[in-house]
Amino acid sequence: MKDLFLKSDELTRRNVVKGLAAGLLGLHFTNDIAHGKTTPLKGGGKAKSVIFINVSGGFSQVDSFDIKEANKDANKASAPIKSNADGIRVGKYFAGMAKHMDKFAVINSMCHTQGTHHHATYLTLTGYESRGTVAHPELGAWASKLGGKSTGALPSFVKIGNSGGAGRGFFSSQFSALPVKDPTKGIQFVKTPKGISEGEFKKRVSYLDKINQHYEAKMKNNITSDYSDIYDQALKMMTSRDLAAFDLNQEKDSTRERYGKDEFGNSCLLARRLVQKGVRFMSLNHGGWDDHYGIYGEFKDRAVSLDQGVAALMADLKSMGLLDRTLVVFTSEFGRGAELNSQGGRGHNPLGYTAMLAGAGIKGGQKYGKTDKMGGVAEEKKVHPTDLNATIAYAMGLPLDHIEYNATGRPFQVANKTGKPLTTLF
Amino acid sequence: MKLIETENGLELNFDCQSCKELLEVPAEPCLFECPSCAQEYKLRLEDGDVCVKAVGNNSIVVQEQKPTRKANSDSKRKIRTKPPISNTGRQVRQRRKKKSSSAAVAASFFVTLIVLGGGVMWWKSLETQESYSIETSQKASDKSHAVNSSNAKGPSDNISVAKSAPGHGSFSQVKNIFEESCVGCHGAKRQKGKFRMDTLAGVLKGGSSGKPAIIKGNASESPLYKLISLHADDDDIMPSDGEPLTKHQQTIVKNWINAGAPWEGTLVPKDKLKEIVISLTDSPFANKQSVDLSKVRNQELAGQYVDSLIDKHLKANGKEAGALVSDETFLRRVYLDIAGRIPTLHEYDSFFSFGKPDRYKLVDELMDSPGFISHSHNYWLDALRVKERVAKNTLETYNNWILQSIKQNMPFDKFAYNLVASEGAYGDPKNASVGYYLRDDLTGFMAEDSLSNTMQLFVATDMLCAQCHDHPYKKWTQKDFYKLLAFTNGTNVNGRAHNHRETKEMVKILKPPSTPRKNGLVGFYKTIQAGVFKGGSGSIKLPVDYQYEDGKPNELINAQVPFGEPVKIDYSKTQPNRRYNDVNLAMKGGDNDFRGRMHLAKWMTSPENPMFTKTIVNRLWDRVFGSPLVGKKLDMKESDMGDNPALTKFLIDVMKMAKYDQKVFMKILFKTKSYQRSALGLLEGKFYHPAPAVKRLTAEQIWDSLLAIRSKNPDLGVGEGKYTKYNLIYKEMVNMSPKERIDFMLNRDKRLKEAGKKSDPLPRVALSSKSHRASMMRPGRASFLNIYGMSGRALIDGAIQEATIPQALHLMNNELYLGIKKNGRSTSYLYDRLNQKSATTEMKIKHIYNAILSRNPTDSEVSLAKQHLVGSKGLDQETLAWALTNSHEFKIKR
Repeated sequence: MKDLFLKSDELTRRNVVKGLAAGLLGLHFTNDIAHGKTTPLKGGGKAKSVIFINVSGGFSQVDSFDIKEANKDANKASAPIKSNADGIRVGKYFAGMAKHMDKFAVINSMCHTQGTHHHATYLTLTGYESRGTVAHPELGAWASKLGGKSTGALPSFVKIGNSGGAGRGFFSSQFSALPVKDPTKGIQFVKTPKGISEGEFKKRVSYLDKINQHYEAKMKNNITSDYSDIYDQALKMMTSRDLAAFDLNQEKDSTRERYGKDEFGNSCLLARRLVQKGVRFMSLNHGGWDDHYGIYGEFKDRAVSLDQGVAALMADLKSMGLLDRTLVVFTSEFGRGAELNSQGGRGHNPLGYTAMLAGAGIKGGQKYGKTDKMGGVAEEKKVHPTDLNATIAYAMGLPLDHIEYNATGRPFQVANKTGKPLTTLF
Repeated sequence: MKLIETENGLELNFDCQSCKELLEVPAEPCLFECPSCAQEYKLRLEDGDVCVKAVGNNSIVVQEQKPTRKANSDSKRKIRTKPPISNTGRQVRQRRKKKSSSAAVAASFFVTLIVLGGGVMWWKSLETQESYSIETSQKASDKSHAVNSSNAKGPSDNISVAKSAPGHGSFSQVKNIFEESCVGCHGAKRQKGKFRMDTLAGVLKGGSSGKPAIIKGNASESPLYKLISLHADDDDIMPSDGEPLTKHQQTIVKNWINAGAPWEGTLVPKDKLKEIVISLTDSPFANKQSVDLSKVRNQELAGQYVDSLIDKHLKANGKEAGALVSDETFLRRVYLDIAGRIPTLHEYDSFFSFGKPDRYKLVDELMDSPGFISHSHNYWLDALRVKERVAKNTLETYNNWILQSIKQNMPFDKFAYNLVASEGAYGDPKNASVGYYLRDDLTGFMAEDSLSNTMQLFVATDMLCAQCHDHPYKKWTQKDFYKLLAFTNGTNVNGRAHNHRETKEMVKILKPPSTPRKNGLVGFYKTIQAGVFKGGSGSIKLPVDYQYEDGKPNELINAQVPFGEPVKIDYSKTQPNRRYNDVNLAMKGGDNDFRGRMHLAKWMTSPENPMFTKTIVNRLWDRVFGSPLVGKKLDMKESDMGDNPALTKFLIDVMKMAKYDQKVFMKILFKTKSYQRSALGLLEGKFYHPAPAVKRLTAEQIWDSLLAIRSKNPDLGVGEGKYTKYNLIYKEMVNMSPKERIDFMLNRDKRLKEAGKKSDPLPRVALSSKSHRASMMRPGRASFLNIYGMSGRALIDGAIQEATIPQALHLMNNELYLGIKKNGRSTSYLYDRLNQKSATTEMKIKHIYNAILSRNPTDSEVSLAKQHLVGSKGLDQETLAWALTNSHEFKIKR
């Protein structure tokens, strides 16, 4: 049983209560209960980095990676083509990815019951339903908390582009994502102010140090020491060589063209560069898939952009030898209805949709699970988002049964209590 | 009266107050009567809780500094991982180890004796000083002295000491212990570990271990006795929650088992008595029914009394109050606390320019300034988790209602009532508080979560766990929660449900394929018809997986509150399952035959509610002093009155006398000496509230303080705009027929513009507006505030003040405009000063310090600046301003 490897030591109820008591007192909880006894994962765990591509808005599975013969409209509009993997056909707009399907495990039986974007996205990213009384950390925050720091000066969790989500949840700020809003611009405010030379900036910083020392001589407290640390880290980051990873111009123009120069292409390229620097979790977003009206109007343009970025990313990861230690996740918050509606669009459909995994020991070219005749409802080997998260955590070697407590003492796990890793995909 | 410590615990005896008979007082239980005249007495000696149910206002507090006990560094460390409340019993035990006094830790405790109408009550609270006050160990010499005086005749000194045995195996004493400490979790209501102690059969049967809990006649082999007599830090000790049984109580149980465990009847859980009688005879308002606290004089009197209670408490704990801060420190502190920003250079100067600075006058001015409104707005947006929009509803109208309520200084009980009881159409200005429920949407689990949040915010009762199962370490059961949920059950949020037909028709007309713009139009229409339309049914079905003996799955149960005065409900006229489908009725406010939310709100916000007043007192204390007075802001026990019960009691009285006027209440706190003392870092140790806590500025305070540096009027436009355009459009549409509404929507652009012109629009968010505008925006849109930890508005009080790298990068590299140069045509105060012809380098340094840190630079700071920042072009003003805004000091309120 591979599952056995995922067990950390049992926590007794008493320890839970103790943890709570410490929380109530506002004491610094040394985490010996939360961390100390956890045994590391012995099997799996090849993913040193995760690239999580969220195709947001509700990505039509029936026009992409789960086109059923019975679905006449989809067959007509998205005419499936062969891929480089036996038995996997993909929509005609995904010709680039078709050349990499031998690396992907295609999960056609994703399903859950959240029908609105906000709730479904929250579930997808955190493994928990959105509630009014607790903020759940998303997968990237779990990865940076349980998976340890990235190598190098860069943070472990980076959000590229316009991706929303729950963020660090109840974890402390050090586990929040570093946002990179515009992948071509890199980390916000990381460059010194305009017109200030390096020498002048150094002078500024040394003067700042002096007045802070002056203050701390009288008023040292935990806030001042936290900010001293943070300023040191920020200054280190400003001068770090790893920052070069954010400079996409260092790539050949042909490479940039290959990825596409739109936001998503740039995001994929940046993600690949960050993988090379050892960043643990990158969250990417390709948005706008909420095709309620006339799905075939703009579908093509978006599909081409998505396909180009992912295909280029897969090609590079493979050729650079990074795929063995990088897990690529491709998912949406839900799929779309198998039948066209009266406005020629497709409605929200959480009952059956497709997600894909590649790299880090995942066996490519396989299909997992099935939807019904039209491709709208998962029927065989249903996979819930918590299972997908458990599989990602498993690939990273995170302890699935490790418990973290929020301020009120409630227990939480990386893929909820219910998530089961799909170990057969490896 | 004398207390004596024996092997069996604390014992005492005294003359009966009625017949002067010498009474031998049993150490347990606390209820007994005089054998001669049947006068009733209650006391409790072994518990932090109070064993009193009495009316009265004369009291004697005997404070006794106990002999020292041996310090045990090991056990200290362990103890600190448990809540303080559970330390009491352990303290007693450890105190008995005393004898040796070297390297000792002092433990002090009080005994309160209250005498009235012949009743005698004791209240003893053991104040643990675990590891906080080693330095006071040598002061433990005072045996006992009166702290609080009384007009009543106190107990006389001729009471002699007697020893009473800890029971002789009789059932009555054991019964009390079991009912108070055991049967709550092991009884009819709950059977933790599948074990019941309400009958002898249950005790003999034992729990999930399958073994009997007692062996008659053999206590030392009985699991029950073993479990209660484990070391206090043992994981398996019983009771698992709250304090361990005292040695004395353990002996009672032991004797009872050894005597063959006699038993009578069935036990029912008994709440430890909760009412705390604290009399404040020296209060300036003693014996007064009402006091006009809007009068400045009375506010100051109240403030002085708060100070005296704090000083008394400090003294009793061997501490001294800190020094008062300088005028400069006070100025910056009070501006940040009341106006949410630092003073402008102009305000800094005016404070010092008219003779001796008047701190209380400044408090009054600031409390009536627009700055207080915007700062409070931010505060309540965080507490109420207000988002920019939820589902299809913009919360702008609700947001504006909150702002206007603050501006009008709506009494807090009314404010809370309006939120919890709200109903009707959202567009109608008088119903705008329905946004409270629109925010939660009440889909999925949000109905439960919304109620849990309501309970935490207004009555500091955390019942979260009980949503799905009995609370693991509190008394709340799932049924308690469902009874409460029955009040709000059936609340119908949003318009979709009740004018479905009309909406469908709208969609048909407005939404031909591929016109997303018109789709937005429908969304707008839904905003107009949104609201809260059902009053709450007053009944609810237990969940399908209900697992406890006190109910069946799917059983329909009626509403009731979990504590306080039960709500009387007339079910005869209700139709809980009635459906609403009359569009126009719904839009006009619905008909509500039960009005569950109204019942709930009435109970919740009543001055009689044991938690409501204490909760807002605690919250406002925390707002002013930076740390709660009692428990936690969102969760406290009904019996908990904090470290300084007299202070808590007084402030509760004050809040009631002030008729829940938040401004008056806060003015009183701001007018204490305690508020003016040097700030405390909230690090280790016990916090006696002698001064405000050191805090990092909130995100909003940082925004508004930067504004105060660069702008001459940072409060411009605060509180303007009475109605939103949605209010006005609603007014136009409410009486239209469906056809007219459609017509109105189709001609949206023209008609909306007309309505927009008539409305009093909220000022737009700009760099020149205060943060409370931007703090309404979605995360991502208000990126400045997000960098500094503005609440994500998912949880109550969700703002964080942690240091992060993006903050450092932002402050260092974002080229913030700090008023050094001209900004277009306008200038800052700082610019004006720096460019005066007479300004010397020293004066320029001073102006920049004044503007950013609200204080004069010290001589060494001036020379430091001159040494590093003066070059051929004179003072590098930009760098000085840059350094000061990046400094630790700028980010800290102290």
